[in-house]
Amino acid sequence: MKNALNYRILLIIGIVAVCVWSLFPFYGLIVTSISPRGELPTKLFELPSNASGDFWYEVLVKDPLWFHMRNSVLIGLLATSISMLAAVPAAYSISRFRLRGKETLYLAFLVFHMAPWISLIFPLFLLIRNLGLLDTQFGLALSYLPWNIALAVWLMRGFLDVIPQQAEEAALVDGASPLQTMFRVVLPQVLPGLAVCSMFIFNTNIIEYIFALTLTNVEAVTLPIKLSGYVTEHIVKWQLISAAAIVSMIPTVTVYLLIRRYLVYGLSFGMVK
Amino acid sequence: MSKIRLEGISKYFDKVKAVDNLNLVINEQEFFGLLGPSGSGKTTALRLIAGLEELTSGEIYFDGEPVSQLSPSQRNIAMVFQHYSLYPHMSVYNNIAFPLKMHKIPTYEHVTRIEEVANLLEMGHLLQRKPRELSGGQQQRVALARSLVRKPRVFLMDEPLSNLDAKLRASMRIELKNLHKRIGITTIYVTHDQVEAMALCQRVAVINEGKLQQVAEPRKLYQRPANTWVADFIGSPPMNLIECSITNERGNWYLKGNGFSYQAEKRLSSTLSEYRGGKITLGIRPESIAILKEEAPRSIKAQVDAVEPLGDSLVVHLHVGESGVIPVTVKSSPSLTITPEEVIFIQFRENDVLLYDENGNLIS
Repeated sequence: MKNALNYRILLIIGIVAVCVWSLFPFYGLIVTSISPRGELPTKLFELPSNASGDFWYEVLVKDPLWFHMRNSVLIGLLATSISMLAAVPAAYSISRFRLRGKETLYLAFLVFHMAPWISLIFPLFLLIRNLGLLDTQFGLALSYLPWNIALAVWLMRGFLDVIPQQAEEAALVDGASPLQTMFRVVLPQVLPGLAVCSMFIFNTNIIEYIFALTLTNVEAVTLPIKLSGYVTEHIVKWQLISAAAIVSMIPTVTVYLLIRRYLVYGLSFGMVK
Repeated sequence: MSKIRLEGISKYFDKVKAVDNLNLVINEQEFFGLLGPSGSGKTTALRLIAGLEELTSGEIYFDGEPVSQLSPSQRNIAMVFQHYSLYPHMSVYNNIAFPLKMHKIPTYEHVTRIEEVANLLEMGHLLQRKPRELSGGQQQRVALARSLVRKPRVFLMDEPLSNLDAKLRASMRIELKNLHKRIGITTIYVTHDQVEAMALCQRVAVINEGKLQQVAEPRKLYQRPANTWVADFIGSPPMNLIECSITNERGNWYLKGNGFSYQAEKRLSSTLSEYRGGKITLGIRPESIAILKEEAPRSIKAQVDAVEPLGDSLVVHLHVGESGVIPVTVKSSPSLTITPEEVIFIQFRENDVLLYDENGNLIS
């Protein structure tokens, strides 16, 4: 009885410690964003002496981030939807059909998605420039596809492999085409997987920095690039960066809230294989 | 409502011959069984007919029209799978409506058609549920309803009752039989359960290792198995098969094996003279053997090994032969009193004695 109690106490201490550790950066962001000009928190858990809304006023009203947020969201949605449209049928084919060399292809996707992003910049820059798509939302979205598709094929195959195949044969006999079978019978069963995969890709794309820095200039500048602009030659505007970082979370959090229903199940789904 | 002809169909998986040169004709409106042990190729044969597997060679005809190049949906068949294969994310109503939607049947017809099959299978109250909320028997009905709703040319069933408990299986068997009587669609029924095949089917094809062993009505399958494999497979306990040599002593024909001797009946004489000097296998069903306490003409001495009282019958395991041991199983009336080690006499019912040649084929 006593042991069980001790165990509970230890467990609670552990949980609290993990929460504090992982939530502290957010706390730091909030505190920094409301610190007055020329003053930054120097100690842990120190609150600013006189809180200021000046920087929030700047990122929301004076020099709003909406233009960049629109770019980020547009690029994220574009890249995610094109990737999923290409990757889901590919993953389905690898999962279900007898194809020569499909395991090699699958391994290639897996290896490719581990390639460091920086190694892709130069060829992608040439490609996007030759297509005349530099500094366009579409151009940046295109540059994300190779990594996105590799990841999505890899993830979706895992989800598709654990779905029993019998219902698909029934669908074929009932008169469905292979494409109808995929859309009407298979995909509804992997909604959680689709949600996890899309969410992950969307989030990775809208916080991406290096590609966005290289391939955009004025028109298609995304949030991370805008934020990096607060680091100037003479001063780093930490308060602005913090306020803007909090605003930047809005798209991801919105998407998360919209598909939360599928997400929780999806995150544990692949593990019970 | 189609006549189906399988012309030398084969299916090889790499080097394994799952189905080997199968020839069959299934008549219009027939309830036809494919019976065999697991791994015999019966399910593969059904999947070939459905179009879920590609033929290695041969051709399948529906009403004289070759269908091997058609996809499953173009063949206008319906299939009930062993695991029901319902669509887990759809309600029962939508499960049944799926084939109608896929065949572009106008929506206003859906309701009447679905109500019709739901009434037929007495499952109207289940329409709004999801498959996971149903019992095995109910899922089974949904699978049946889904395949019936489209009024297919051919009805294929792959062990549809094997996941149900014994009592439900027996009642579903009767329902299936009545259903077939009412709708009269050509049905091919795959099973490893001989009782199911015998009870349901008008004719049964027995398959082993991808090869056809025999096609016959259930009664004939039981009474005159075409070879020793079928004889051993059909019936429980299986038929007694005793290897013998043929001799003729003073005009009488004898079947002899390892200290066992049986004087054959006159009707077998011509067959036996033909096979004289060769090996032969005598086949006799356990219930065609009588147990006698006293020696009688043409009876054989035997010793009891074990007795199994099954309630409706008594299965007696015994052995005959003096130098060697030949096991024999007898199914007798439950009122018989008999104990192990007892020495008794057995007598074959003459008309039920079957003879198989060296290759195991029925000769008389």
